[in-house]
Amino acid sequence: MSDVNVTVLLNAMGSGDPQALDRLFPMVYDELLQRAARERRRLGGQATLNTTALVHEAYVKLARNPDGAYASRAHFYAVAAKAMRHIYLDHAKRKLAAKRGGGADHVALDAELDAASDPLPDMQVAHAEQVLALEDAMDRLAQDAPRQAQVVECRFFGGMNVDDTAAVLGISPATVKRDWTVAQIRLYRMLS
Amino acid sequence: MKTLDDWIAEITLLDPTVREDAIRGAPVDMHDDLRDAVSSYIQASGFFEKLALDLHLPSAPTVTPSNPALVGTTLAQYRIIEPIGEGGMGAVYRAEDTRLGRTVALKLLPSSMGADSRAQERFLREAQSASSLDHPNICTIFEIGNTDGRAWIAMACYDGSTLRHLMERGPMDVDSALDVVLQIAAGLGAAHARGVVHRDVKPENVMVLPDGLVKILDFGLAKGSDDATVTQEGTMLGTAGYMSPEQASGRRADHRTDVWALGVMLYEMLAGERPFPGAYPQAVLYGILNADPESLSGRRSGLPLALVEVVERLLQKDPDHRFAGMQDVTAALEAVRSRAAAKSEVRERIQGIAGPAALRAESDGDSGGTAPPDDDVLYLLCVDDEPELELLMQQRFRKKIRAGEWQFVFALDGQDALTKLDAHPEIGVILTDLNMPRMDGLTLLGRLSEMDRPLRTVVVSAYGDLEKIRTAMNRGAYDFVTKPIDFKDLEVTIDKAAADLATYRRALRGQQQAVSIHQEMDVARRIQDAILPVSFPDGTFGFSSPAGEINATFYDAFTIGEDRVGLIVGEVHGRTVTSTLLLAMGQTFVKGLLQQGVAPGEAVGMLNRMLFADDLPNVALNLGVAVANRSSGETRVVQAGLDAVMVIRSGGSVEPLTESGTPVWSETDSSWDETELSLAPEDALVLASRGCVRALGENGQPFSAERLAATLRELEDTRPTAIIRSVLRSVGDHVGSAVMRDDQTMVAMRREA
Repeated sequence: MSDVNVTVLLNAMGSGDPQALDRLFPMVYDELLQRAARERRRLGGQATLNTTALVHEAYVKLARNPDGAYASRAHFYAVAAKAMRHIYLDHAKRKLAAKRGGGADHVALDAELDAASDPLPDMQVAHAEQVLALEDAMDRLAQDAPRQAQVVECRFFGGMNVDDTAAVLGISPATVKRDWTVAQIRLYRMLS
Repeated sequence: MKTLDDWIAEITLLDPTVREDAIRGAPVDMHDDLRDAVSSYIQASGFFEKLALDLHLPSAPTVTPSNPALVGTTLAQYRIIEPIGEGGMGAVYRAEDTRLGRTVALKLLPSSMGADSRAQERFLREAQSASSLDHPNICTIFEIGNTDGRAWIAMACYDGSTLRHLMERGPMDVDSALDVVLQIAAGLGAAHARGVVHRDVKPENVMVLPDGLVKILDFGLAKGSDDATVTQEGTMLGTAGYMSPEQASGRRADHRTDVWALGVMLYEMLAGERPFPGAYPQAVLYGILNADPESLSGRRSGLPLALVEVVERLLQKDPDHRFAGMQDVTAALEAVRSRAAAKSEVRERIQGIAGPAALRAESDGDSGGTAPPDDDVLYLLCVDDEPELELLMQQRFRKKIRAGEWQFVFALDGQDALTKLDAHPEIGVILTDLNMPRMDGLTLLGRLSEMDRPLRTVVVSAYGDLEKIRTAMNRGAYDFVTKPIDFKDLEVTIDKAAADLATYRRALRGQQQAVSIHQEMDVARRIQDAILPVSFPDGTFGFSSPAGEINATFYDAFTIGEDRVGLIVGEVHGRTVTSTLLLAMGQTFVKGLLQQGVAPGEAVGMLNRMLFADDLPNVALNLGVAVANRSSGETRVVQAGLDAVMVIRSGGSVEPLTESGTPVWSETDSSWDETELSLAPEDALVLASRGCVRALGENGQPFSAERLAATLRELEDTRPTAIIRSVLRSVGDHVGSAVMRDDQTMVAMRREA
């Protein structure tokens, strides 16, 4: 993976190339995952993962042009938000699969292996179930109101502020606020 | 046309008290949906906040907004009056304790946490331990409770400004900053002694009362649900700036995390900006974890070096390298404070007499011994309620007065004396009676000891007042004479006091000078460190061995495009901040031009022409510049006052370049020719500072270009590191036991085979 690629792709994304995102996503996903795993190893299994710092470090590593400038921060964070969403989803799936599958010994062993190698902090089963349910609700929301789902992705998984979200989705900050409020209500109703 | 979504968004974001009115303004068929949506919104946003916290997502909530709907309601015995603050761990309201009739600050836990009884229990336990802290610098916690599933804390309500508020007026003066930070340290120290760590110290949590008393708020409340990480994730976005590296990376945070936060605040109070600034929390956190803050002395000049060092130590990324505890912090800050007090005193005294100490130090260095004019005339203040004493003094000491040695100012009592002291900053010695109307002598002494001013007071009092005289001596009187006055004795005593005062003033001046020279050197050293390269292109090496604390030379070796390398050696006269800056500018300028492909001769010409076009600095720069193509061997050299440039051929012969050229900035219209050379494989090139060839040996003779050439001829190994090592050794042998006065700086390259 070359650094130039990421900046080129980010710029392409900024100028509206829909394929740029598809090519960018796996790079950012991998980088976040690797960083998370490294950080987990460094800090030991019990530490909390600092996702904010993680995303920023990935940005610093990937989005720097050869001439030292950075490609659009907002666009990168939007991709990172999507990647983060998938990382959490995959993690939750593994957690639940480990709980359901195999005999008791097998599960215990798996859990131990997971704890050692998993890039994310251990997720409570209840939280894993919430993540899966949220994912389901997000899919439904995306069919009904795709822009609202995008806003949730940026705001919730990416921790982006209103202005950045507006910039990246090409809508007004007022619309972001509106979508975010309404989407929370909708998702919550689907979940309860 | 507004859609239902538009209406929902608009109304949920309104103040709760006006929502119902707004709903009535919407189309009738939407009313039910709107009421539904508004009531789900509270739960929905609570749900997402909590989930973000649980998953440690960056969107975890930062503040709990206050709820205006609570105003006027009563919780336990507290009637809520108005919201006064919002925080990571709940909103704070001003409330009236209806039982005791006093006003309190009532903190309500966020409802998202109320759902988790374990978290709540833990939170309350923490608050309980904080409430046991009884210290003047810690906010008093009155009561902790849980009413209808809502946890709350009732605390003392202070009328004052937060430190955040005070800092908004700009950087604080050193005295005020020290005063505030010492009180915070005292409060934190007391808490640490009882095992309570704050973990969320920030200017918003420090209240400064009108009388200057500091109160730390939110003590021990910062810890929260699951394994204390709510602090870290939950408050991340709001207070990232004060987070310690261990908090930012999710590691265990002990009491030294408060030591760090104290450092961030002190830095901010003095510089007016945080050490790790950034518009986005991600950038701030990145800085906390990875970057060194810009030195305080770079942000604000004139700060005591010791203070800058204390801040640097508070802000060590590794907790082990910080102060071990608050008592150490306090001791270091107290030391700074007493030194700062002495310094400000002397600064006033020498103002207008001596000029900036650093400038004097830069001249010949002999001016320190000359006594300033105010040491020649002694100004005396005589305080006595008997007006005849004035006549007596003027008569008895008329010779001294006529010779211009002494000058008297008279006051009738302590109050009058203070006024006269204000009006006459030149007064050095005070003669005072003890029994006087309005303000007596003992009170006056007490007031004098609080003044930031070097004075010597001699008590003149009746023999029977021995007890009072003893008290006066304890309050800082220098000596005493008894009435009736023996004027011979008084004259001796005054002379003694004046001599003592003069010694004291000289010592202070010396200290002041030492401090500013030290600061100046410190700045120069930092510039130097910043410009010397840390890595070298293949086949090049540079080294600098400064003779003194400040290096007046520099070197650089860098690549230009694919094939070429640039080499620079430069030197200026003098070892001051100014000369170091000139060096740094020259280096940066030439390096930049060379890297853009400008030929070395033209680059040096541009440096001469373009910087200081109107007014040449009175320091000339000796510069040697070479650009060598490592593949072809083609090399161009420019000498601007730098004579020692030599080529070492692979066969062992040495060819010195004879052209030394004009130094940069000595004449406005100089130009420089390039010497063209061809380096065969394994040929080497050396540029050396003049300090290398001029270093004087024990015999008083310079090392000389001839000896340098001879040293190079004898080389067996011509790799750049070996060349430089041999020259340094050879110069060292030559100087022997004589004092090394010149900086030896060299850069060398060898064309690879």
